Amino acid sequence: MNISKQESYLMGLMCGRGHIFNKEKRIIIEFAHKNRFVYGIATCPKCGNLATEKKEDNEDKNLICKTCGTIVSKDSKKEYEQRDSTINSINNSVMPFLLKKFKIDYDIIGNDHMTFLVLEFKNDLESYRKITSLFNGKINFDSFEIPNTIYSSPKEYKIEFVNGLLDTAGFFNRGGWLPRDGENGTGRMRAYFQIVRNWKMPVLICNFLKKELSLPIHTIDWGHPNIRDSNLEDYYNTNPLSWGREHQIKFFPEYYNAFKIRLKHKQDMFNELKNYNLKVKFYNSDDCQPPSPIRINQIKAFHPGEKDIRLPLEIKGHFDSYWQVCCKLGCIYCKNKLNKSKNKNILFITGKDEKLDEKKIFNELNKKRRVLTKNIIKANYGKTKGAQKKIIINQRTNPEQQLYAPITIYFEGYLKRLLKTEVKAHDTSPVNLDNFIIRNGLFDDFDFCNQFKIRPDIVGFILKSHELGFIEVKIGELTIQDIGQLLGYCLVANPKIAILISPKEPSMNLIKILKAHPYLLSYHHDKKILIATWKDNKFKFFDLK
Amino acid sequence: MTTEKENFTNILKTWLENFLRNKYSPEYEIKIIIPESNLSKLAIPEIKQVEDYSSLEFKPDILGILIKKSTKKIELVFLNREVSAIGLKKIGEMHCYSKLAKPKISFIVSSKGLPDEVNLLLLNEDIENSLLTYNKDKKILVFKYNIKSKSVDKNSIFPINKKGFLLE
Repeated sequence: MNISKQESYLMGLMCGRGHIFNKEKRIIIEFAHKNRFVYGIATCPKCGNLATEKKEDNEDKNLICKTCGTIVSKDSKKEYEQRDSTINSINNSVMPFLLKKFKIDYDIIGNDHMTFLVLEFKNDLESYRKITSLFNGKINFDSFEIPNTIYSSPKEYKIEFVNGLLDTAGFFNRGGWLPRDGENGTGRMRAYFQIVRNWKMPVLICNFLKKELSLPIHTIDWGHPNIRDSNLEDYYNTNPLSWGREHQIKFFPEYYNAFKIRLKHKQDMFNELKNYNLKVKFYNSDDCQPPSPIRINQIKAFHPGEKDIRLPLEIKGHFDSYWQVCCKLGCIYCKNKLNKSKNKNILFITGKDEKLDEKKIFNELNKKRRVLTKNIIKANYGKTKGAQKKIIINQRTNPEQQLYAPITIYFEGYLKRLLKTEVKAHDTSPVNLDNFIIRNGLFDDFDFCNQFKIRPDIVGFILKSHELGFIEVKIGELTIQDIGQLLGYCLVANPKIAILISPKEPSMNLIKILKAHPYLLSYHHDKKILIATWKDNKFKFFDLK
Repeated sequence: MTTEKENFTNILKTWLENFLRNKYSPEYEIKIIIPESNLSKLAIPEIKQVEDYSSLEFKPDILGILIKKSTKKIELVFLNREVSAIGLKKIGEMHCYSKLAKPKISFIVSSKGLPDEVNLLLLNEDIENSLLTYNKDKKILVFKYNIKSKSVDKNSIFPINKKGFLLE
């Protein structure tokens, strides 16, 4: 299939952060900018080398030159504004380019953390069908793969595809530098592609850049517990699930000169990193050449998240190095080397192509991992997992929360009797529903709740039909405001049943209003919020007919 | 000392007054109130002229009252404000108030805008319709008000096709 440069670029944007809205004939692109301002590299005014933040005794947050020790003012870092720059770049660079090909309308919406570009294809259905068909029925960036047509297109089209990827998934923050000495200084800057919730895309991008454009990749920082939280620090101290946020494909910017980043602040930040590396001068491309030997200090402790439901089947388990994850997820460079080796298994677990006793090596490595794990557990003795800690803080102390437990038990039985099917009900109030589902192994059956950052007090999970039941508990007399709150959840999540309940009977005034305006309780055609009183440990529903 | 919420309410009271004057002052007399009790109990004569006013057992953060000069017909304008990002709970609340009272315009305004996930949900037309529509083709307007620049953030407005109405 022939494609244009604009189509290649759009596919790059989509692979980075695109959504397809089929009914609306919209393609939506996310441009993430977590903080409105980000800061560039600080260099020493004396010797020109990298200055970083002092760790101790540093109330002024001043910086110190890593080479000559000069104190450097924090103000020496260049400030980059991200939100206005994103919007201006979309209007002045991204859209003028896309409009050369597409007959589309567009709009921009967002907040300080994210800008959404809304592309309306209602007047260019041909282009819409062509582009969306290349993603094989997938509708979100977390499941997209690089379209086949990109691989067979000429080099300049491949470059446009990467331009799109860089605009959405490329990040050029100063923090990702590597401790390496160059000819004229120290520290080597790295940029990265940030890939969210998509386990196939990192290897696809890495292999595409290496094979199709002969570009080096340094490493992939996988959102896998062994790679991202290898010493279980987050597990014990902050959030046991923090490893699962994203993957980062790291690269050295000085090799990526062929690309045009259309977001101005990103191009400026990219240039700053690139120019620093060019000035310091490095002669090694540090290209990932898997498998590489795994040193003894690279062996990782076991992590409880290794069998997490969100990990794809291929990588449920323990890994000591990022390239082992890449290999399991289809890296052609890893696979080729392993396939050629006579010591395939040893090569995979050690990174060394040697004829060794497989069982002995396996046992030795496991022993080492067990010791590491034991030491970490010992050092964190008495600590509770980060997430549990947060939930304990929310222990049931107020009268409303004390009702959650008995109502949850009753609700589970009620739904089982009503629907004659398996139901599990939980007090979900301490965390958002999407988070609760992940933490409780319900993701496979309730993945449609992925975007639901809502907190109904109690949720019934109807396991066979993959439906939900919501309960919102109030301690006082129910109000119109309470109905509105539950209605907001119901209009989005469309539960099979939704109950607003209080131990107090609804006022006659509310009953009067609801009788006169029964549509207030409606959501999704024929469904209605039920109003109930919690009395004698059961539901007493109000007949509002 | 005024709280952040009170301060934002006062800022938006002025904004709403200017907005309604620009749009409707030739035809309507305009009053802006920060209600202290549910609308059904407000001691304001105009409210008593609203059909079924006794059902209005709630209070928006800011109430606009439009009195048509020619007919004396009353129309309401609701504005709820948030100093944090606007969640589904708050949208549901305003949805309920608006369905009940059928105001001429209904606003939810935040100094932080909509969180990413709600932005994305509202870009789905079905969800946008069910959450924001309250009376035939009338929809709740949601946007971020930028306190520093004292203006509506034009890249934060939902429904998208109401940008013109809000900004012109």
